[in-house]
Amino acid sequence: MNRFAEAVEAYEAAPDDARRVVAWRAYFEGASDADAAAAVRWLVAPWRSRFTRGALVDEVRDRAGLPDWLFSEALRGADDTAEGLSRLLGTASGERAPDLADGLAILQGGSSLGGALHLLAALDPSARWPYFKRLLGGRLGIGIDHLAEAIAEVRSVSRVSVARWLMAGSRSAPGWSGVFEGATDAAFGPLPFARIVPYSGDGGGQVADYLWPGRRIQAVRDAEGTFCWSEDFHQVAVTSSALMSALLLLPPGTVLEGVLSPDGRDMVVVDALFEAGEDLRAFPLSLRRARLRGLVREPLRCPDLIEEAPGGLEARRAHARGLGACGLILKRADAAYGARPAWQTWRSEPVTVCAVLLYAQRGAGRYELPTFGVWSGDQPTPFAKTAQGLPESERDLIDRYVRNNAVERSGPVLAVLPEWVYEIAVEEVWPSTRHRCGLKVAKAHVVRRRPDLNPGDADTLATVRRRLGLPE
Amino acid sequence: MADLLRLTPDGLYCEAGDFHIDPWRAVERAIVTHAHGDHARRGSRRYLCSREGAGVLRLRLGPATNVTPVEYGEARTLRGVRVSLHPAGHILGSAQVRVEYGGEVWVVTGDYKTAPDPTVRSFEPVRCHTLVTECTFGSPLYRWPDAGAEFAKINAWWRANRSAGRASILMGYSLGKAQRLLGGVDPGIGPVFLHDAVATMTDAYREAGVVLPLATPVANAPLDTDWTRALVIAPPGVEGTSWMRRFRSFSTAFASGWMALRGARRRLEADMGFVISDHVDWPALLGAVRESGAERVRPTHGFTKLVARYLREQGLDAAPLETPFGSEEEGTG
Ligand SMILES: [Zn+2]
Ligand SMILES: [Zn+2]
Repeated sequence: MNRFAEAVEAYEAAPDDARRVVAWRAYFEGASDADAAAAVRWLVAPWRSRFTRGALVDEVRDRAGLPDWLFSEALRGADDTAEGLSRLLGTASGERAPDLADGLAILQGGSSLGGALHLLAALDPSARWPYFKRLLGGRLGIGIDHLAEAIAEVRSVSRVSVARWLMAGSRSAPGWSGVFEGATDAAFGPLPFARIVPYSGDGGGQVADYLWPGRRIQAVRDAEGTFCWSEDFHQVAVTSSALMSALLLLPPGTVLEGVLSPDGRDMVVVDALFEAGEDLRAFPLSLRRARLRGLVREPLRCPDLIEEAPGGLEARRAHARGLGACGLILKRADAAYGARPAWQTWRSEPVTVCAVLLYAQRGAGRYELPTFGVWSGDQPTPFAKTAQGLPESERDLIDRYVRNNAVERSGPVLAVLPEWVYEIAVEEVWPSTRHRCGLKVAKAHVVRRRPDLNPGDADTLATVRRRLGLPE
Repeated sequence: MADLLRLTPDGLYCEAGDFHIDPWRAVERAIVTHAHGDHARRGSRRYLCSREGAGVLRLRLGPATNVTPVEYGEARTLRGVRVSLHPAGHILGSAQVRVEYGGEVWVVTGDYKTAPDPTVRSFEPVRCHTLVTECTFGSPLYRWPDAGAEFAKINAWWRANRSAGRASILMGYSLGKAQRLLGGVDPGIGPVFLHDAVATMTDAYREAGVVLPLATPVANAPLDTDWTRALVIAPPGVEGTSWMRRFRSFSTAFASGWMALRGARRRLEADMGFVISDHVDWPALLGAVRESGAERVRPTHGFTKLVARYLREQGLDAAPLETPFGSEEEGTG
């Protein structure tokens, strides 16, 4: 159990993807089959803790042997409750910690709260964190893509089949042997996505698609059904049954690339990688697009490639916002899928918005993640949450300002009166019913603070929507 | 009766003996627990410190400094006040100060640790009536892992970097922590290099008789040095400086007690954090208080209020001794 916790810690500390994979490879290399299967299940399978936060805190408090005030004060000083409880449970009891599989069976199975804590007390304080985190209902934040790559390397099976097996495992509890069973049907994706880089200024001889807001996905139709995968190998849910039916009408052995709207109801498809088991990736884009058009039916949308002289593309980019897109993706009509040069995103100019500072959320030790609002009538409406573009000194300034001027606190968030005005550059918005302003700002950065402006000078929601090319 | 030691604007003062302990301003006579910047300040007329610590103290304060070295346990009488120094286990030459006058005994711990460290003389508990104890990590959150296990992690990180062709830059305070790191790593993995600030202090350790593995100052390394196998011990703050450029591909790590908490590790500029501390953790702090037999405790430097309240509830006479120590804390965790 200590080794598993070390892997979680090494994974969190790893500065790049390669070292994140190494952290898990090291764990799986030394793990028994039973432990490896238990580890995977604990990391990906859904599971509900039987213990409430209150019960866990009370039980650790009882065992810590500290005065209540000291226990509470120390708990507040920890990064999160899981860390606080891990450390306040005291030095390792000296009892031998069980193997991971046995230990997790105790934590997930029928044992009492006392039994679970007795087990955790046997671990080093720093090794208790991942277990407390999940017992408290938290997530460990381990990327399935990293896990898949590590397992694939250790077991010499294809990464895609492991990823698929892990995704299946997130619905039901997988067994370790599933890795090998899954290895046979690796042919049908998700496949490596074609690389996309920012526009470099060289646009000769290109065609384009609009850059639609949403998530880039591959829709994979295999013998069992259609599954949508994000670029980081996560399965993405399609929420519209009409859309799902259209995807199920694809012939088995088909892989399409598209963009799924944030609410999961709308999909634009832009490429066909496989059709009925035939690999189309070496064909030129123009041909793949023709095959794609023959495959899709409503409500899947397959827009035409934009074919224009470079000057014409510039005009299309300028008008993209009016269509609900946020720019263009430049491609070559004669290129194979994933061939060089890479596709290039040519984003529309950001829309500049003057907004008022409404709240700041506590991040690493300071209130540094601000939410900005625009006016809707005489009420400020939260609009964009971003700290991008803010230099350190400005983050400190916001931290001090909200601490000294907070009018309301809710959890890690302090609210202030709408007084400070900032200029925000908005690059990508998604329509959203969950946000009060009717849109989710997916990509934005702060340009600068505007001490020269009064709160009343900030923009209204109506002007912002107009500038973004959205219906009012 | 007035306290034998009390705080003045210059620092902790013994009126009967007319001397200060770790004063933060220039005074007539300063007794210095150890040579870290937040304890040893320039400008006083005369200094008294342990013989083992005299070399590093002169390095920090300048060769012209008037330093009187005394052996651990050797008593001096200053105007009728008996003063002796006792090992504190913090860094080379670190001392607790025992002050006795009219049957009353005070001990000022300075910075200290009770956990084993082969590069320093071990902490010795000293009985007293009043204990002035540091409490940098005086919260139940702090419990150090076994240093051996932590050094195994450092070695594993070094080995992994070596196989990936990256230099390993291990950061720790140049006096004390750096030498403990040098003494604790496995020199069989590859060559060890020292930042100049670390090399100077390491020489002082060797002169004082501490046995440490071979290590080359980075300044003396040939131009064509293969850094990918190397461990480089450097003070914190070198990240992002031009000094780092020579290593091309590297991984950075920081060794400190602060690394025990996830938040501190996340805010860290380095890739890795290792929990190696030269201070007492919560259980060791309580153990030291118990072993001193003190009825009065004056926590200073750190979680003073928390420790004082806890000890009061345990039946001791405890109150914070507030000092501006820590205002210039140099990352000595
Ligand atoms: Zn110190
Ligand atoms: Zn200190």
